[in-house]
Amino acid sequence: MLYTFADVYSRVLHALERVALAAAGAILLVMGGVTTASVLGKELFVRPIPDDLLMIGLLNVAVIALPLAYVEYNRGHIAVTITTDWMGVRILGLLRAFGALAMGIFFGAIGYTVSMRMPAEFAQGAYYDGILQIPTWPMKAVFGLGILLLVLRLIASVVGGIHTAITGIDTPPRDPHGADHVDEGA
Amino acid sequence: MDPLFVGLVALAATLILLAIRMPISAALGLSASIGIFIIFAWRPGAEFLPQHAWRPTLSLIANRPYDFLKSHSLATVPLFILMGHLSYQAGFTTDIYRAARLWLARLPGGVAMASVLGCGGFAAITGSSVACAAAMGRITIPEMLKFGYSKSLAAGSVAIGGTLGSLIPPSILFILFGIFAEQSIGQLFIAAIIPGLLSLLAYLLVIYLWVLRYPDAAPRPEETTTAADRWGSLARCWSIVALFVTVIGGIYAGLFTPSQAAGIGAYAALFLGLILGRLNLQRIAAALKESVYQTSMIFAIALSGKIYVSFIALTGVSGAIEDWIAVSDLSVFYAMAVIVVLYLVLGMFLDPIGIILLTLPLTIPIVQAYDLSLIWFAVIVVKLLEIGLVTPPIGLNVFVIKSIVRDRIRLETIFKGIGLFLVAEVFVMALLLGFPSLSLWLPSVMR
Repeated sequence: MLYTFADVYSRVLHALERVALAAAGAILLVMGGVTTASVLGKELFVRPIPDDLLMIGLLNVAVIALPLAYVEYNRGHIAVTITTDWMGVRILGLLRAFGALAMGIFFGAIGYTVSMRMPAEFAQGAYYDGILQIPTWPMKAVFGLGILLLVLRLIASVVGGIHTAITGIDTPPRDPHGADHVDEGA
Repeated sequence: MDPLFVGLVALAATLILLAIRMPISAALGLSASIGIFIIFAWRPGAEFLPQHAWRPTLSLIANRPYDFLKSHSLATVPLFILMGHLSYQAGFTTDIYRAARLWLARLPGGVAMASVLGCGGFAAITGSSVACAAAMGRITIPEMLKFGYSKSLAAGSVAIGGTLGSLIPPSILFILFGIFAEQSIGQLFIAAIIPGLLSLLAYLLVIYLWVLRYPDAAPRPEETTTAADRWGSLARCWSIVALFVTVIGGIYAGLFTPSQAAGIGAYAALFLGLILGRLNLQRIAAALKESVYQTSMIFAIALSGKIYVSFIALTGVSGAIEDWIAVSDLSVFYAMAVIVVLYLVLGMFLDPIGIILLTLPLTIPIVQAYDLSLIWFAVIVVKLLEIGLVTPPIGLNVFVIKSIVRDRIRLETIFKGIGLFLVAEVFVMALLLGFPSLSLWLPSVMR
């Protein structure tokens, strides 16, 4: 029963992570389009897109926040490993659980405080900005959604790390990122 | 409690957390958040009053990350990353290598030289050293081994050539430096051009001298190429040259801001890839996926770094460093020597982005106290971080090369191959430190 729940939880979460990743990719394309169109508009017709910088900034939030959980799924968040590489699988599982717990507390606090402030800010009308009065609240909600997905994935990472510590079995991600690509950092 | 003491304890705690494999973003963010809480709760000479600390701490945690991420200047990072991935998927990034390979094949060590030039070309479009080493390594090392090149020369030249990725603009490290040190990203990019070319020339010289001393290390390929092949390969490089000139030339000429240049560059790569038939939907999707993945990975750290920087400001450590410098009468030479050693040591263990965010709040006050240019300092820092990418025990680029060559080349052989290049790095570093104009001349004449 417990294993079935864990399996369903993991599958549903991973499906959501993939959707979030695809959405972030599409938003990145739009962000580049807005930038390019604004520059071309300014150079060719002396008319940049109004509030282009505001739009780009808002879109950037989604590009960064939405894939956070997918990165965690692939154990992609950068950590120093040289100091612990010599340790056994069980200890590494424990460290992974501890790291995920710490990350969950930090990002969970961010998500919690941001979402708690939203109703009050909404009541103050602080969610519209720029000449076009662009609604900024959707991106704050997307930011919260990205953090929520990350925290849900971190819970799975904590459980996975503890499972490894107990059983000595480490289960790497099923669709390892970067199999045919190269970029793993700056 | 003295905020400075809290700062020192938090710094020590951060290093311990990093050592036990905690993700950098969590280590920076958690230690900074707890430090901020303690500073507000336990003011100097007062009792511990946690009720006074919740509000300012939560306010900082709630506002800083979101406000930071919605800054339009940050969009420079994902857009430049996208430009790099689209160019990679379209094959633009390897065109320079293929041309150099045909043109330099008859020179001593020509294929290794072509690999380094290829890395330079790759670097002109992407901003990541590891990506540069990985992508070029996959193509060039098997070719060099096929021609009978020594394993240490083949692997070493690509590992060191990969370091150009973060030095030659566009560069993710320079963008992050610009954001956190509040310096012009455009000026940073332009400042890195001459140091980047100087490094590239130094690597070429090392290969030339290596093969001159040990001709067996690089036999000349027994293949014939026609003038048509050579000119044809050169002609294919126009796309990468056009992209570089548009992006960096546009910034230099004052036509675009860096974020605009990044957007234009990404769409130019997309457009060129489509009209040349080198991109399809699958490749575009792969480029987008990789770009957002890498962006998210970088900004998870940068977001925590923003809170960490706010925390360091609260501790007053910057003022303490300036006071200490004034009292100690430390010469600028020794101060820079300490900074160089600090970055070299950290570079052996930590990821470059983590190092930048961890150290800038501490080193910038030193640089400012001596009235040194932060643009010049950025070049020095990035160059030092690049050296860290090829020095043991971590040497990220070396491990990337190892993951490509697997059992064919031993790790020690790769590190051995890098040894001679490191001697060249010392000379280049000395030039950059001794002659700041090498970094500052181009920015001084840009519009």
